[in-house]
Amino acid sequence: MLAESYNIRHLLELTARSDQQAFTQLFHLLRNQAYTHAFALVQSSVMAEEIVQEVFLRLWIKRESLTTIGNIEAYLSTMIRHRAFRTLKNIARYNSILQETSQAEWLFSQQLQDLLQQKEFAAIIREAIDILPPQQKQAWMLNRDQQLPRSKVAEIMGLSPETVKVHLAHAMRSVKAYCQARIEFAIVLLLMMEK
Amino acid sequence: MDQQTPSIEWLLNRFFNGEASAAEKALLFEYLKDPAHDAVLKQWINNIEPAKLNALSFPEESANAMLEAIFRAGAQEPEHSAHVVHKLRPRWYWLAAAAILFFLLGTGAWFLWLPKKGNSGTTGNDGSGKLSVLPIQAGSNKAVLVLNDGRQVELDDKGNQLVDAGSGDSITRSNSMLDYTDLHRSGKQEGERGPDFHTLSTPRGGQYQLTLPDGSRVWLNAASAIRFPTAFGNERAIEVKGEVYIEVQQNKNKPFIVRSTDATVQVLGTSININAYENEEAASVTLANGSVRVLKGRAQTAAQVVLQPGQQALLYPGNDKKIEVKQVDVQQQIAWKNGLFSFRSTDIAALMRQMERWYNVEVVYPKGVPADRFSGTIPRSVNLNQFLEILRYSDIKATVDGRSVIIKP
Repeated sequence: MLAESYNIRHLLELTARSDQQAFTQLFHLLRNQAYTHAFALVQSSVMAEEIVQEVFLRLWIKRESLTTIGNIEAYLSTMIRHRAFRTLKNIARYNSILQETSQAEWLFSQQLQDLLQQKEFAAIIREAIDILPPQQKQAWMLNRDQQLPRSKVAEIMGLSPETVKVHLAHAMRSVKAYCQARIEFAIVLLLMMEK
Repeated sequence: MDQQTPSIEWLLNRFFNGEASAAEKALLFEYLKDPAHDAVLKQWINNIEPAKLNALSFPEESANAMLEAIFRAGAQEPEHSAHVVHKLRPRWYWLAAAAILFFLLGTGAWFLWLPKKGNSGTTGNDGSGKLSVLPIQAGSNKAVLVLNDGRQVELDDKGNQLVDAGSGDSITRSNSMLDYTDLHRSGKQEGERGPDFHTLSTPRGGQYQLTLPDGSRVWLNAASAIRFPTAFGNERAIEVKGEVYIEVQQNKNKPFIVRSTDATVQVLGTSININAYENEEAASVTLANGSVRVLKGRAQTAAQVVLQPGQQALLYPGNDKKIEVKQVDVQQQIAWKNGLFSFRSTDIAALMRQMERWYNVEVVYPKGVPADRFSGTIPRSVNLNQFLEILRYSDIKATVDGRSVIIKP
């Protein structure tokens, strides 16, 4: 659509100057085709969403050089292919572990502990939690650090369990995005944390 | 390999067609552990052409959360504000519900805002019929909040502030969003006085957002308004005009009801788009997710219908017996809230009415309304000249004269 390519150029120029509104509109214009492509490659809506998040995150981080990209759709497709490949490879690598152990076992398994111990990973997660808005941060600390069930967290925070669930979902998304911005191909690791 | 074991090509084919069983996927991933199969995997990935795929919709409710997370992760420094209100509550809740669009017709005594005939932002009328030298800008985030005592507060999107809501109350404003979950109440205790009612309204060329006391999120399009209590009681009832998109916070114990002149919508938990502009043919309620009951008018005997996601109810004024229901492209209906105009074989008159409200202009048709239809997506951030230039590519010709847009057949 002629109208769209004219406007994408305009939005890229504004985004390059850190215009969040322009980036938001760019996101809305391109998110469906990005999601469609990602889903076709990984056959999972959850992972397709993660890939879309990573890809747009990368666009935002590298926004200053966006005007040098000739064809943004082709650029996105290439990134999606690249990430889909890594995602499938990662699933393959961890799949047997995921199949054989229950969630609880996995959470306490040595492999996960080793992964999380890796200093860089742990430090990045700590940073990510540190910049969360207060209620998300509190919900995270209570639920994940202190291992309290959601109902208990709700009691302590004086909120309904549904609201706590929402805060935790937001917090998880923020932590993931933060890690994705700093660790290449962290998708599968983070998905496993979520399980 | 014996003949019983499927080849990797066969498995990849099954996988990418969405037909692989759990066992077949497990087998495929066994193969993919081996770097020797990287090349064939890459080949298959490269062979899938995005343009040829059946289009899927990215989950609407994830969009806002994702953008928020991206901006937070990409910030150079942590997003801390020195302003005290940021430490109290997160800015909005994520709702799994659907949005309701209400199209409200008619005028209500409580709707205080009156459209102004703007006369700024244009160049001289040289009568030559050319596009303005100073193009009319797109709409922006602006609104007027009318308090319980009738006082008006003008709102924009610059930074954050505590809005004085009278009676010792303050409301948080973050950029273009007013947050009632963060109402600071001082003075009398709750219960000693009845609920205050506020009205948030947008002018032509304006748009705004609101978080209601229960956490439900509201987006207002141009020339729209919402009237609501500052605290909800046993039921959550609001009144709307113009066009709003609402993501309703789930709460089984407190029904959520939206009223307009012609319709009452009982939200059974979701997101809806309500389009109730006076100068549109019919009010419409579009359901994105969840379930709603739409009633014509307010009588118990009124016609009513329960909508499924993807359906739109049309209420024609004067026709109380029937509510028309049709399937619609929800993404197209709510594109405005995502900063886009989305047209799908839209007739010119309807397209122009949307343009009028956003750019605050008047359209005239000296030779009658062309029968053309237009399909396409245009960001709402472009100025009027750019908007019209895009239409020109589709042979829709117009000129600007002051704040009038003249359509040429």
